Amino acid sequence: MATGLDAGTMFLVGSRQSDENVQYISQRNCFMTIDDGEDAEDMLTSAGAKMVKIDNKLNVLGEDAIIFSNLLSSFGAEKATLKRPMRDGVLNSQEEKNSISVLSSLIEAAIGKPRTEGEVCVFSEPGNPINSEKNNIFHSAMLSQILTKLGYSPMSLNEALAIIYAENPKMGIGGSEMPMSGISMSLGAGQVNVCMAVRGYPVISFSIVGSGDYIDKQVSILSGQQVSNVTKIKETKLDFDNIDYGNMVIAGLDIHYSDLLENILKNFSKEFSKSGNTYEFPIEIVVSGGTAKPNGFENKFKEILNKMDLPFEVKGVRMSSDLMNSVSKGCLIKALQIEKKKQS
Amino acid sequence: MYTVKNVGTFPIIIRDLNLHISGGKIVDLDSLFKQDTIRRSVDLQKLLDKGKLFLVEKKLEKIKPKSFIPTTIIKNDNQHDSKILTELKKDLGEIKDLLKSGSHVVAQTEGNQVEYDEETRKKITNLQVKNLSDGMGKAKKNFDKMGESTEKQEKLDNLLDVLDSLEKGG
Repeated sequence: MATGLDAGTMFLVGSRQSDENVQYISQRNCFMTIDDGEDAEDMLTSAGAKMVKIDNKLNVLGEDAIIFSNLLSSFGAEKATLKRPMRDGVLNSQEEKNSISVLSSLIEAAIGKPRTEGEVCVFSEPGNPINSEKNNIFHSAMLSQILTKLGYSPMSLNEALAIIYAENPKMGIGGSEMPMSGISMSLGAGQVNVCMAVRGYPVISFSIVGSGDYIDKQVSILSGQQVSNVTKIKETKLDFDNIDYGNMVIAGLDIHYSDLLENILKNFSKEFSKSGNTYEFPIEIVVSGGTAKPNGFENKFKEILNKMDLPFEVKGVRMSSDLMNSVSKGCLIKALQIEKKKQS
Repeated sequence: MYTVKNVGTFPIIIRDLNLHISGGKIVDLDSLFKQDTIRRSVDLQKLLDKGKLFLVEKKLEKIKPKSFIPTTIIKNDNQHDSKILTELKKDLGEIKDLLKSGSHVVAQTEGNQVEYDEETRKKITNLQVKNLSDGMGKAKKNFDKMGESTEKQEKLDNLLDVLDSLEKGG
């Protein structure tokens, strides 16, 4: 047995193989804390809220946290704020210790207890960002510790490399195609992770802080709308093939997406040139992640790509087969490979 | 006009501005929001009334971008070691031993930020993680399963074979 875990800012996605199927369990990576009191516990229990009690604090988890936070806030409850254990792709060190215990509970809900002693769990970690002083040492060490405490043998895997394993892009043409070779981009809520691999080996990898959440916040500032409202419009109405420039939010989202995609491609080109490598074959690009979900995203990406002067030839662009689960799937493949080696 | 300081140590969230201010941090709201947006913020007003946030005179406390602050390198200076210790507020004994033993390089900026070499940083991080997880409270949950579960027919064996063959030089 082996398990994969995509530890994302917005979602935690656990994956396991069963016969010819893969089971994915997705959790909203958020919580709401309120002080313990009989009234609060009774009210939340009778409403069916899923929660954990830690040191006399009640923590409502996942999707329920969003529902109850909105509900309690509308009644003026000041402390019913929605919190996130992670921010910008890594553990939110500004949150209190409580959030680490909560994250442990959320992870357990996503992957369960190990099925065998010391089962391998490969979890995703972001690359070090090129535009922030944040680093992922604490993040990876803490996730390893949480998984070890749950009884797993943890191992980290670069988030964008996981997409290479899951999607198997190819470099080259005709009969001379190299597998697991290409560029992958994971557009999450907190960060964009980019990796270029050749025959499964990463040759360039980095991340950029500021992805979906950042776009929502910027559009909220320029339009005067609440961030939650901007997020909702992005998830339900944004269609890059049909932009309504009269709508301030839609137009703002379109502009900020263009800016983000240009930024990713410019930075990749810079890193590519810095590496000094040249490839005679055209390179395939695979894009994944929740921020790439809006309708028409693939066309938008191609439109920006065509305007750029890149130091390599692009073979093609494709969206990953499952935008929300690809990272977890890549982690699972790596975990299965490690288990296989252990057994042989 | 609105530069505010979180006077406490815990983070504060101004919900209707969707803004998170860390403990002790100063934030210039004028550069983030339009004036009428700030004036409409009920939560900001409440936090100011309660004294959790206070307005800062810009002339008195200027906020400097971090990248413009010059960095000086100082080796094994006791004063800077104690700054690291205070900053971490963790298991002082263990970290003190760690800092005594190594030839770590400490950098300090005008903003009282301290930096240390990669190896020391990794060791300190591992100690932090150990201390934090040792102190984690015991969780009592009221559910067995949660989250959205989906099952997909996917053949992972082919991908596994490709990975294996690449590792063996195929």
